[in-house]
Amino acid sequence: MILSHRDYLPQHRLEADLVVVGTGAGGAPVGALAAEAGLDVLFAEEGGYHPTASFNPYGRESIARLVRDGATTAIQGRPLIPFVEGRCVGGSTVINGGMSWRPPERILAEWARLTGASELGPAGLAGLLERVERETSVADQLELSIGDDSRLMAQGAARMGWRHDKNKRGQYLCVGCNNCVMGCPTGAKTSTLVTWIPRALRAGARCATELRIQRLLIEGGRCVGVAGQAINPATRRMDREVQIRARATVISCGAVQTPHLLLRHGLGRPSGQLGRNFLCHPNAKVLAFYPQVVRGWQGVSQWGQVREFRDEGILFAENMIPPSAVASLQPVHGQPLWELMQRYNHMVLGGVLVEDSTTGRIRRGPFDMALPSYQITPHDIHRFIDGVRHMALMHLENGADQVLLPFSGRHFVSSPDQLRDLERVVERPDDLDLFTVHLMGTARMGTRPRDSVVNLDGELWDLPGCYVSDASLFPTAIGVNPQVTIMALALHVAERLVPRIRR
Amino acid sequence: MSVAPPEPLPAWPPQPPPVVEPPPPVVAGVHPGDGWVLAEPWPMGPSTLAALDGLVRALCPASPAPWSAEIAAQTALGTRLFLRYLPPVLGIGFVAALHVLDLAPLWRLRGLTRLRDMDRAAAAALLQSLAESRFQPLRLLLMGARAAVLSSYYDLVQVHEALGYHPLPFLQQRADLRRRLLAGSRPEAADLIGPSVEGAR
Repeated sequence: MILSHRDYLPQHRLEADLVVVGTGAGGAPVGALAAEAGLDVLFAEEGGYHPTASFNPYGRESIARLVRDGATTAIQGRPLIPFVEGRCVGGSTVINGGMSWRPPERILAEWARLTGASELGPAGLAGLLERVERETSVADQLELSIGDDSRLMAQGAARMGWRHDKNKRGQYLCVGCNNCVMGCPTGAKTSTLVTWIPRALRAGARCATELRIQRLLIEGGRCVGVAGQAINPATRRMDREVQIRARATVISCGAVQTPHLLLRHGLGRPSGQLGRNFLCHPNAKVLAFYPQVVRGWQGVSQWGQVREFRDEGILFAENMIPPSAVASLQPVHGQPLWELMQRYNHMVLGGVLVEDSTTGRIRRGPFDMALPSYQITPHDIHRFIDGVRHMALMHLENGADQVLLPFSGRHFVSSPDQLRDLERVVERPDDLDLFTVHLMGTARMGTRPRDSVVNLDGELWDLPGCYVSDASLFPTAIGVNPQVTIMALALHVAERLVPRIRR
Repeated sequence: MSVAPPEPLPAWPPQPPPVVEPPPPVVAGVHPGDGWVLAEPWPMGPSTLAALDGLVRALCPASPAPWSAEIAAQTALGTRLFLRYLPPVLGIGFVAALHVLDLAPLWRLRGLTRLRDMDRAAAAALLQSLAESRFQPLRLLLMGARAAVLSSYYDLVQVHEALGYHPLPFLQQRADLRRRLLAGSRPEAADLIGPSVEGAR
C-alpha cells in the first residue's frame, strides 16, 4: 500500500514493527528482507511514487519530481560542488546510471583493518555482493544498447593504448534509452523502484510518501519511531503532522540527510564522528565536439570506463545528458550558447572522477537545511588538471575538433599544444567546475565507540533501536560507483536486525 | 569510425532477476497522467514578473533560435514552477536576486535603466560580464539564474526540434524493442543504434 499527502489526517499516527526512512539503495533492501520475513514494515519517503510509465525525457518536471530541491544542492567550499540526490520512491537509484562495480579488494581490506571487523573485509562481504548482483541483475550491456558516444570513448582509449573496461550495470535487457538520470522509461534499470520495493510491497509493506521525517521519537533512551510533516504537492508546504511508532527504526536518507537528521538530537557523542568523514568523489565534466553526428543521447549512459589511471585514483566515463542539463552547465548564455547547443548532436560529454584524498563534514544549517562542506586539496586539483588533460587529449587525438574544459570562463581547446599549460589556467580552486553524485561516509560503521558512529549491526552506539543503512556507513571512499556496496551493507544490516525484531 | 559486429550472445534470454518490470505500452510525454500533482507556480507580483521576463529575454537566444511570446511565457512559467521545488528560503532568495539583476545596469554604472528595459544584446553582454566577475558571489548569482531559466528554455519541445533532439519516438522504439526481447525475440543487427551503425547498414 502506498500512502500520499491526501491520505494523511492533520495529526496522523502510524505503527509498524520496522520503520525505514528512505527507499533508495540503503533502505529498500532492508525493508524488503524484513517484510519477506513477516515483519510489518513501513517506509517513509520524502518524495512521491512515480512508476516506470511516468518517466519521460523532459528535465524540468522530471527534476522537480525526482531530485531533491530541484538539483540546487551544493557542497560548500572552494569550489562550490553541486550534487544531486534522489527524492522519490527508489531514491537516487531512480536517477543514477545503475553502475554496479564491486568495491576494490584493497579498499575492503582497509575497511577490515580500520574497523577490526572481518565482516567488512573482502571475504566477509563477498557473499552479500554476489547476492546483490544476482538480485539486481548486474551484467554487461547488450551490444544493441551501445551508442556512438560510448564507441568513440572506447575507440579513443584504444588509440591511446589505455585500458577501457565495460561497466557492470544493474539492468535486465537494457536497450540504451539514455534516460537513466530522469528515470528508466522501459523498466530495464534495476533501481529499487522496480526490484526491492515491489518485493516489499508484495510482502505487505506500506510506503508513506510525500512525508519529510524531521526528528526521532526517543523514549527512555531508546528510539521508538520518527515524526515529520507531509508535503502538500500543490503548494509544497508541509501542513500535516505524521508520527510513526516502531520497534526499530532504520535511517537510510543518504550520507547528507542521515547525519542531518541524527545531529538534531546531538547523537554520535562517543566518537564525535557523526557528520564527519564526508566523502564525495568529485568529478569534472569535459565536453568534446566531433565533426560527425554522434547523437550521444541514443545509447546507454556509461557503457564503459577508462581505467588506465585507476592507480592514481582517476576514472573517465561518458555520460550524455539532455539539452536542458547541458545548457545549464555552460559558461555562456544567449546567442553564444545557442551556437554551442546547435552542435548538441556532435557532443560527447564525459566525466573525470577523482577518488577523495580528504574528507568533509555535514553540519545542520539554518532553515532545517543540511550544510555539507568539503575542501579539495592541492593534490586533487593537480589530479583534476591531469585527468582533464588526458581526456581532452584523447578526444583531440580521436578526431574531436574542439573540447570545452571544466575551468572557469570559456576554456575551449582545439589542439594538443593548448593542453600544456593548464596549470596556469587553474590559478585558484574556484577556477574548477566540479560536480558529484557519490556521497558517502558520515556515520561510519565500526567495532569501537571511540572511532565509529554505529556498531556492526548498524545500530547507533548511543541510541538503541536506531539503525543506519546507507552510504553513510562507509569507513572510507571506495573509488567506484557505490550502489552495490550500499546494497551489500544493507543486506548485512538486515540480516542482523530482522532476527532481533522477531524475537 | 569502424563498427564492431554484434557480439555473440552466450545464452538467450539472459537469466532474469527475481522481479522483471515490463515497459509501458506508451512512453510518457510532458506531464504524464500518473496522478502526480504539479505544484502551482511561485507567486509573483507584476514588478517581479517583469524582472523575470527581462531576465528570460537577456539569457535566451533571439531568432533564428526558437523565440516567440509563447516561448518566453513558457520559459518564465517553467522557471516559476522550478522555484516551488526549492527550499522556500532559496525561492525567496531567487526572487530577491531577480530584482538585484534587474537593477544591475544601475549598480554596474551602465546607465539609469533596468535590465528589462535594455537592448537585448546589451542586457546579455552585461550578464556575461557578471558571470565572468572575479567576485564569487556574483558568479554564483549568474550560475543560479542561468540554470533556472536556461534549463526551462532548453526543455521546450520547440527547442528540442530545432536542435535535432527527438527523444520521444526514440524512447518508444526502444520500449517496443525491449517488449520484443522480453517476449523471447533475439536481438538483430537492425536493433543497433548510432549514426555510425546507420551509415554502415
